Amino acid sequence: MYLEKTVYSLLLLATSILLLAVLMYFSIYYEPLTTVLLNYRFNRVLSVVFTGFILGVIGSYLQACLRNPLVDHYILGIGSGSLFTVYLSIILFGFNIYVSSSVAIIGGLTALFITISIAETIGGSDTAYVLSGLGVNSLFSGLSILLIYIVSSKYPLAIHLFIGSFALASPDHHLLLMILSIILLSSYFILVKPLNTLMLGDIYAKQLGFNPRFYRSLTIILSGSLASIVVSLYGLIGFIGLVSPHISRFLIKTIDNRLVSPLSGVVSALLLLLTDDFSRMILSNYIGEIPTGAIVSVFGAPFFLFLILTRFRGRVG
Amino acid sequence: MIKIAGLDVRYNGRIVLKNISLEMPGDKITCILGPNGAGKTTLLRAISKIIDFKGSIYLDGLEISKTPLKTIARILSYTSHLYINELLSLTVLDTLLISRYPISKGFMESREDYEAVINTAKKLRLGNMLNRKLSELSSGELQRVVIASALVKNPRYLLFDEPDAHIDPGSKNFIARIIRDWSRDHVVVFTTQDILFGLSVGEYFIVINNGEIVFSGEYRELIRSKHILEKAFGLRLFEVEVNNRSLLIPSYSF
Repeated sequence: MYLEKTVYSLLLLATSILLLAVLMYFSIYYEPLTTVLLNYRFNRVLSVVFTGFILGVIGSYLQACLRNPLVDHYILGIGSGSLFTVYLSIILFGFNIYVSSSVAIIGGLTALFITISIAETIGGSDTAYVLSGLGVNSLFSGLSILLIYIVSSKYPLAIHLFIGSFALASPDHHLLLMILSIILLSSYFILVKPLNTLMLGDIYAKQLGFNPRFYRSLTIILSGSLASIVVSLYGLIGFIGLVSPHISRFLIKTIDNRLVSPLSGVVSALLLLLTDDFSRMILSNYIGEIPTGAIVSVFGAPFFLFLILTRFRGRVG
Repeated sequence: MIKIAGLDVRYNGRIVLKNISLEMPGDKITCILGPNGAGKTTLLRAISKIIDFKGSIYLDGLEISKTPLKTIARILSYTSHLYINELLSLTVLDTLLISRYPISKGFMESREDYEAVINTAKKLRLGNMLNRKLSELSSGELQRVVIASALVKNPRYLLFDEPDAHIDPGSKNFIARIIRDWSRDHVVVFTTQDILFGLSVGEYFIVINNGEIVFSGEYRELIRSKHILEKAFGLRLFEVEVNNRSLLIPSYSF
């Protein structure tokens, strides 16, 4: 039927937004209700939702433009690369979100460039990207760990960036996050159709009038920069950008990025808010607050392994 | 009519096509024959502005190097194999809708786009597999999707790169019929390594070997100069007559 999937996706998108709104409400308004707590919760929930949305959309962009179902900003090394330069900048200039988010872009894009170059040199397959990303991640994570010892004396919260946590949420971030979301939303209309043609192969994209090199570079630079900025604020939050596009594709039974990307953003925001709530409300009652990044990895990593398994089963069978 | 003058293509420093000049008639199916690596694909990709080249190529009055990619995308289809990834696989419907992008106006597909896709799919016997993933199709079905993706935007020029690759004789026969049907009001060019398929479907012939045109001409001329084909492919060909039409049959290991 004409526009069948579009209508279905829009309904699903509306439902998820509604669900997200309800979850946001209950994540903010619960006893005890003091002004300070409400303010804190409001800031934190807003940060989580913006971050989730940005990382979810970026995940779908990166997977589409590299035609690779196994990547997100974390796997590709953007996370650890930007974290390393954020630490460096804290040591050199002290902590300032605008300085650290700018240098994060340099680190994130450098790491991403190294990962892609190595992956393309060793054949450019899905798994080549994962392997190359693993190496780049180890390098920059290692360097970051070395720096943590120096950074912590200047900025004690730096360790939170390494694991990924929203305990750092602050109202100062909202303007920045809003700008990032607006950039992302405007890029949506420019990028999603070319990304769809890229999924048929570079030759096809060009034959359909879209220069693959141009649109791939544009997507990579945009996604890399936005993800780096998010990392400079809340640290390494892996797997959420990997999982959400897959969940969205599974729900709407298409990989059309016009439909997948927005849903992936909302699904990712929902998942991240759920994990953050879990860490903030439930775990903190028993063992103290566990950084959200750690919990996301605990749930996300098995999903990633599952994806790799199905990928290889598909190839053999 | 497609007119090419002084075409040179280099790839990684290697010369793939050397100083090619030729014309392909607009009212006949042009078949480009040649062994692997002869430059057939490169020639079609140069005409489609997919790769860089030196020289000039004209699609009727239009010079390609001075025409934007978007314009070429509206009037010309080039098909080769589709990229397939099991975890990121498009459905047949998605693939055909995406293939309409050059001539589709809005952000989402219009009813007209959708109907064009359904009609094209039916013509290629894909009507009942619109929601199947490309990764689940057989080679024959996939080749029909490839052909459909070229036809769905109804361009003036149709360039098929090895439309007969990896498919069984029945599927080849079906593809041959589609090519013939569409050649009535479209300019059709296809490449093949299969001499028999090429001779059965083509009406005007170009033989490429080592990046050079070694023959261009009509059917009868090609049959008369079969030694050119024999030399290009490195085998012997026997002329046989089927339904009053001469065909060249390769004789393997004679």
